[in-house]
Amino acid sequence: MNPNDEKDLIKKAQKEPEVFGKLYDKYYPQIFGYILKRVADLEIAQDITSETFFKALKNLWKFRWKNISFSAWLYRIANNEIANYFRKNKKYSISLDKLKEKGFEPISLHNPETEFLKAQEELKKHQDFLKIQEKISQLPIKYQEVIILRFFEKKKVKEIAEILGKKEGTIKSLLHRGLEKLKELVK
Amino acid sequence: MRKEDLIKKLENIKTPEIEIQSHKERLKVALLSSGYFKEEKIMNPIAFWTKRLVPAGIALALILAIGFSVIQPKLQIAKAMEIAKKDPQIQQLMKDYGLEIKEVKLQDGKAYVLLALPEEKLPSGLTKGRVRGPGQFFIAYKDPKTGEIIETCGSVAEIDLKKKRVGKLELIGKEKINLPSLTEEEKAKAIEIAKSEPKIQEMIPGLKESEVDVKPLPPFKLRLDEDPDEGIKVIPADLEKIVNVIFKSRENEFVVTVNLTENKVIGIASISTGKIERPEKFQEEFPSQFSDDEKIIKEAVKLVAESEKIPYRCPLKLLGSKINFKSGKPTKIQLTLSCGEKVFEAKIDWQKKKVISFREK
Repeated sequence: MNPNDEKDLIKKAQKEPEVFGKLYDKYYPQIFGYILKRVADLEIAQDITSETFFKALKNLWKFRWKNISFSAWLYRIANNEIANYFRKNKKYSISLDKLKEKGFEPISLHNPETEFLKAQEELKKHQDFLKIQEKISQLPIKYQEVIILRFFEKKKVKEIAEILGKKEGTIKSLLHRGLEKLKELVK
Repeated sequence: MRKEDLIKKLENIKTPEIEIQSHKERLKVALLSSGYFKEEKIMNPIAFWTKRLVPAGIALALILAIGFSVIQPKLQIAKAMEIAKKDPQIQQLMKDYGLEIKEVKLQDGKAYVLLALPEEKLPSGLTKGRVRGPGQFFIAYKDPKTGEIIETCGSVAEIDLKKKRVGKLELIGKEKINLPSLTEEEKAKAIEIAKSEPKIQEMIPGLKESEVDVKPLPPFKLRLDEDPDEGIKVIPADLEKIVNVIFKSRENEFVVTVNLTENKVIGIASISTGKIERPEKFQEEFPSQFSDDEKIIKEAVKLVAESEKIPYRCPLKLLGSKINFKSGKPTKIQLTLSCGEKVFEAKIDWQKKKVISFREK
């Protein structure tokens, strides 16, 4: 989708749910994938993804393209939610699965339980990733963000700067210091 | 390890590319039915048009000129919200059930504040209530004084603006909301939509032979309405008509949720026997459903007490509990217990009736 088309879509999405649905379909894999790489837990990733998109929807009317791209804005919201999770081990009231506590079982045309188990098995196969992610998660959040965006999300420094709302020089510095610290942990 | 080697390692690691389609779908439905689109437009019409159509100085003069008749009620509404938020009982409801103030209306010197779940906490049309059936939203509230189980969709607080206090706080039971009635045509349409959905035909064996019933769903969203005779009352805010089409056979019961406004199936729930109640018995069987949970918790506490995991003798006091369900059956119980001054967390495998962990918090 070219940027102008996306700008129109976002404007319409502020009023039309079906249009928001298209944006959601486009960005869900990216955002869920990023969150999963940050937390390495499927259930938590689902919860944080839910929270991210609800916040995005709630604040969509405030979004202005000139300040930040839509993708970077979504990553920013996801980052904030992940940071909240790490800081407070926050319970996400939006989690659709939390309704199970009250006896609600989410239903969809895909069987969620089998799918979830398959996804867990798939995640377990990525042992190299899980091991390094575990080390990365021991770093301060500011280093985790830049390392994962740079190496796992393959974002450029400029893109990372946009997402985090920092200068490119700061990002480079954080990457350098983060990698130094990670090196110590991986030793 | 050298930094260059670490960078190389990070660049070459194969990261998981996993997508959980069921979560994606459920979240999408929850988002699209959350109502943010309509609400955001309504929230800021004055600010929106003032910024765009009228220069600042004229805008101020205009607001002052329109002024008192618009601003005064707004001040009273703001005052009512402040009084409500300071009331301890309302604070407790907001804390325990996550209710928030949805709407305030003024009438005869009083303010009426509607408290209900925020949009993001409302179940989507695809969720199933273990007790009430699919797509239904309620808060199960146990009156701390009487022990009575109250099934409610929210609360309305009546606020005396002169005395600056909450005069009455009433839980809104479903019987106090006018449920949408269904015509025979609507029922027939709902059945037709359900039966002609290919996925439903695939999922429900013996579809043609099943007994069929159609029931309207209580609304997810509520709002206040001013009636000159009845005063302020609670009515549904949902624009769409959503119903449950219930297919019953000897072996099983399926509930298909149909959106009659959009003419489509939005979900299906398979109700296994045991914990899920049959639709016609929701009202009288809900209290016993809740007491089934209480029985489970009581038995779980007894298991912990008898497990010899507690380091010393003391009467156990239950501070909190959580039951995890799978396919309508309890699988794990989590208890928070106090023993004297110490607080413990216990986990019980309900299938094996065994305490699997016990630790001090």
